Amino acid sequence: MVKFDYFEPKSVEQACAFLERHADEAKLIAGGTALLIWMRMMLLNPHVVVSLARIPGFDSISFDPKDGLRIKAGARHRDIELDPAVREHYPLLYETFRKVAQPRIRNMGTIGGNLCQGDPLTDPGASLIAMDAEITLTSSKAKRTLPLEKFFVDYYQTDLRPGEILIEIRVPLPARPLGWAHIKFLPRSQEDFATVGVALVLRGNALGKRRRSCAAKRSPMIESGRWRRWPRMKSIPWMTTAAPPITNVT
Amino acid sequence: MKRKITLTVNGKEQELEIEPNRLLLHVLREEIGLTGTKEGCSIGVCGACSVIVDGRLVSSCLTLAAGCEGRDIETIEGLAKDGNLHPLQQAFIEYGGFQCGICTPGQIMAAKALLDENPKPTADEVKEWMSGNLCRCTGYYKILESVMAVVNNKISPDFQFRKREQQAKIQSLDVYKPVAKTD
Amino acid sequence: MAKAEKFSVVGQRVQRVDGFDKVTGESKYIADIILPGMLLGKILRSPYPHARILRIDTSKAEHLRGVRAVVTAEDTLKRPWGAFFADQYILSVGKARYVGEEVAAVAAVDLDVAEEALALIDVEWEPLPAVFDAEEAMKAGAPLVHDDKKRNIAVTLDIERGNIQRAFAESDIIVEDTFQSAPQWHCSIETIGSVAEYASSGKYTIYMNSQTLFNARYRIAAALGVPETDIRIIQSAVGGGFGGKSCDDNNALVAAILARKAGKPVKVINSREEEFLAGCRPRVFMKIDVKLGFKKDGRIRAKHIRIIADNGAYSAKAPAITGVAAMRHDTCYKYSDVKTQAYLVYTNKIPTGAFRGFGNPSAEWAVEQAIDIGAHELGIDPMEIARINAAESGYVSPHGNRVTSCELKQCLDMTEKMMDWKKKRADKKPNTGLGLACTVHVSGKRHFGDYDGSSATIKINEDGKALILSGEGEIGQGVHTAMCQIAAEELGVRVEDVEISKADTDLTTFCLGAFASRLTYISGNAVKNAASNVKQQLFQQASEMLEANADDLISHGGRIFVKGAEGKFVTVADAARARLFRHNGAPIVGSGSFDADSVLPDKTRFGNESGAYNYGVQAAQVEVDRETGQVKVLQYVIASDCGTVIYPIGAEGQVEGGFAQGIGYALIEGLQFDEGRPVNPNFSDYRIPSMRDLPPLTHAFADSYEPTGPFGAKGLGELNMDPTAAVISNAIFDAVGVRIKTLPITPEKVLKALTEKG
Repeated sequence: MVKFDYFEPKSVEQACAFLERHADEAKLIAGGTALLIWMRMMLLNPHVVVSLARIPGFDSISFDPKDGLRIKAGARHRDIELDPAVREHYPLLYETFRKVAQPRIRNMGTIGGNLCQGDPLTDPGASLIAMDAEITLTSSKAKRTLPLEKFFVDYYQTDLRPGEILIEIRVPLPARPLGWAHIKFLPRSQEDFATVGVALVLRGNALGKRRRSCAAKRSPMIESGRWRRWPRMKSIPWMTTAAPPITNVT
Repeated sequence: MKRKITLTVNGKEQELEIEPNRLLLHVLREEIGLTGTKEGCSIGVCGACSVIVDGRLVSSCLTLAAGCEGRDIETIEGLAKDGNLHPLQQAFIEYGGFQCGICTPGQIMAAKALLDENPKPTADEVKEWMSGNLCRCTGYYKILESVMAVVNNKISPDFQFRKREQQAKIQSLDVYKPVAKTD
Repeated sequence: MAKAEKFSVVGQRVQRVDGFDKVTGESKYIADIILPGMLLGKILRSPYPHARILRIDTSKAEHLRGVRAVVTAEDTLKRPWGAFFADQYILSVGKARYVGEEVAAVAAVDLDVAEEALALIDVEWEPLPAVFDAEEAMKAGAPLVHDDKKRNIAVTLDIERGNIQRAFAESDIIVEDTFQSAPQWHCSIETIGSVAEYASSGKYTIYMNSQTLFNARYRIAAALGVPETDIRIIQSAVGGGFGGKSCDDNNALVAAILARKAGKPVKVINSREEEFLAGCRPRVFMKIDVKLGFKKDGRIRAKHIRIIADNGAYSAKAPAITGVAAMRHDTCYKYSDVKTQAYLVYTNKIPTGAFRGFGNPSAEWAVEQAIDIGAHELGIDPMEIARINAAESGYVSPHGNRVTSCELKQCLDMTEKMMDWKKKRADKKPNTGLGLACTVHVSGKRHFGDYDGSSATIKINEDGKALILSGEGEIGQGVHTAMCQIAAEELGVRVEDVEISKADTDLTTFCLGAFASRLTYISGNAVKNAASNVKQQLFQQASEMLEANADDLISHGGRIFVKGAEGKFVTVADAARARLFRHNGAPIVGSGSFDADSVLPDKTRFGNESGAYNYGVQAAQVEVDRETGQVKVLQYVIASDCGTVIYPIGAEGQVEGGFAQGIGYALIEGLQFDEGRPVNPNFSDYRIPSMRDLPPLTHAFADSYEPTGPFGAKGLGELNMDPTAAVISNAIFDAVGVRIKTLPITPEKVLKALTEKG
């Protein structure tokens, strides 16, 4: 792994300043589960690493019935899984996050890191899009909010601009009743990345007939062709048969 | 540029000067000399390097040591107290929860993190939790049995490893004393 | 026939002798060994599957700060070496023949410097046409991997026993099909590594995580061109072997020449990627044509098998593995007429080699499916077909394998009962099915010279404890514990009072190491003989002290006494000290040897290859999801005949662990090659089973006794890796009527077969 300077800013503003100062040379680190693999393989060789781990409140999760769920980008997958509000009001997210990898990785990986990595093999993107999540990004110059769906551009490509930090994910409170499901197709090991992951939300009077679905098709590294795409909200014909039974209604 | 950091490892403060690119795994093994934590896959999949940082189970192969400044780290070496094995360590011996043993420190640390959080998990909960710790020898059946033995209080209360204490008594004999003839 | 014998230590659920160190993290594996002044080595590997080396310039690397040595083939004798054929070099001579081949190496003060130095080595390559498929490689005009190997063929076997033509003519039905097995990597959680030291007197001391120390010493000595005595190999704790750490790779040799050139100890540990590219030698993959002739009543009348096996670029153990795939299974059933043809073919890929099961998992994948096809065609329950044909004690296979104990039929009965086979067959539910396969394995194999033996020494310390000195080594399977139990049983002492040394070629006598499921049987016999020798000496001493006849003495729990007079005794410690602390004193120490009653097979590969044969049966109930093709194993059952079980916890572990690797082989493991290079060689893309992937398992041991084994024991280690893939495939056929003929059995393949079937 390349040698680098390491900073632990105490605020988002400070972190943005580091990013601006070191422009192309800097990488942000949160949980480290993705970045450090790439660095160990010498695929990324930043001269500056800026850790977001010591910014107070950067891992907080809050809920307000009007405003919905606000997850700061530094929240770990496991924090989200264990959050009582997530469990009560966002059962799809609970179900999704509790099935991400296993507890050790969920303890490390942050939601911000997950989304910014743009790896379509991972689980949270599809479920968050299905729940109409929006994200807030900030830099020294500007702050913007956009639907998560718009953030994903392609395989390992996001709309994250130079100098920007993803700081928050907001998920509006869904209307009740809410039907939902998340399934992963794991043809090899239960520990594997999914070949296909599907998050499905049915709401209001549309329950019983499909209104909105979101599917992520992922790469089977096994037999047939490999194609990776980002989750997109789509009506996909096979969903009508392949979708799991909507037994979860809250 | 090297940084000074202080880690608390198994309750003991360690002051170190390290390059920021050093991983916790390598600092534990090479700087502090705690080689019980193992490197298996180097990408956070196998769990052989599992340690507990501030109460959370993590892969030390994907954790920067510099990021652990001031944190509390538990490794396999911290489990046995005063020569007495932790119940999980004892169970792994009694129920054969290992063969080659290279994944065992990680398995035991993972199980400890689970039991710290949930002392009475079901077998399915143990499987889900532990499935991120790969083992190529055992097929996992005896690992599960070992963990469940702790959960269900099925470890021997009077456990001694290969009857060490009795051995100590035997060893206290003065072997150079001529043996009395039987007459 | 099982023989009832009462044991006090054998068969007890004792604690593992190395248990404490392993659960506390104190065991020293190869990466944990640190010597003063030690450097770290890294290897430059070929990026091409086949390329000539026009020039290597190491000068820039040599001048990098922190680099202590750079080596190329010029630092070696350029002498080929290998287990059976000398065809590989320590570092590429002239050309490289697969991606990952060792070309040059660096020793430096740390890994970062070593890696930087590798990038500074300038190699001018001339890529050559390469061949990646064994069948393509056999065709005229295919690129030659080794210029002197015509059509790339390393080994040809063509053996007929009986009269195959007549046997097929006399068959009522004939089943013919082709099956393809797959490469499988050992994936020990610890990769291969070595720490080598060189003394200017000319002696190399090498710490290795090898499973076959004396074989390693022989090969290293040959490759370095020095006598065996100048090589000392010390075994570190071994983090999993499974055949992969049998010294068929160059890791230790590179460490040795780096240490010699640098004048410092050098540690070379494979990264996980290196382990996949060029470390352990993965399972030999084979294309197998099987033709079986059956009589109407289910008897197998004729068997013809034709194998094309992929050797990769160099021959490790594949020549022997090919023979095993071609012939071993003929010891499982009562065959009279068999024909076997096999070709082992060079390709520009990683050399293949020994992996738990040797050639058996590939052969059983094919043959056990062909038998299942026959059973279905004949309308006979597969359990019955197995019963009709099962080998028995006294059976001699067409190739000369002599079976001294066999409880295969008992294993079938046990499996039937544990699986509730009859009831499940009768109440078959849609998309669920039952599958079965039988298996046989050896307990040692005579193929390294005319020797399949072991030796051990036992000394009694002044405190009365016994210490076994054995060079066989412990690779995790628990054999050291079994050896201590065997010694304790024979000596009449408590198992806690027996310890065992590390394997060290300077301090222990010749041993072949861990392969061919040989240790409990062969080293167990050697340890038993050594213990018997020591016991005689103890009894001699005790007889003086007790004023009794040595022949009248027995020992139990560390006490020696006259039969029937337990009250008057001397302890082992008393006797040992009395023998030592006196005029003309001497410690009590004894050696024992054992060589199996087997035969080095002749030119036609006829001859009893092993001293004993172990048997087993596995059965599965699976459920197939017709929509996705996914296979769920609902229940799995295993019955094993390994003779007397010496160390139950270890034996159960061998069954469970072997089975887990079988499940991986059947359903999970696989890596694609792209132009000879394994794609994504890491644990994220090559998945091995996790705790959640293993199905409910019930298993048991047959009541069995091997007359030539130590206390009736025989081998077990590989048995339960062998048939699993065939069992799953047979169960899938029973469930949904499609037969998968290539490994691994992925949902895609099942789904495709279901779609084609309509």
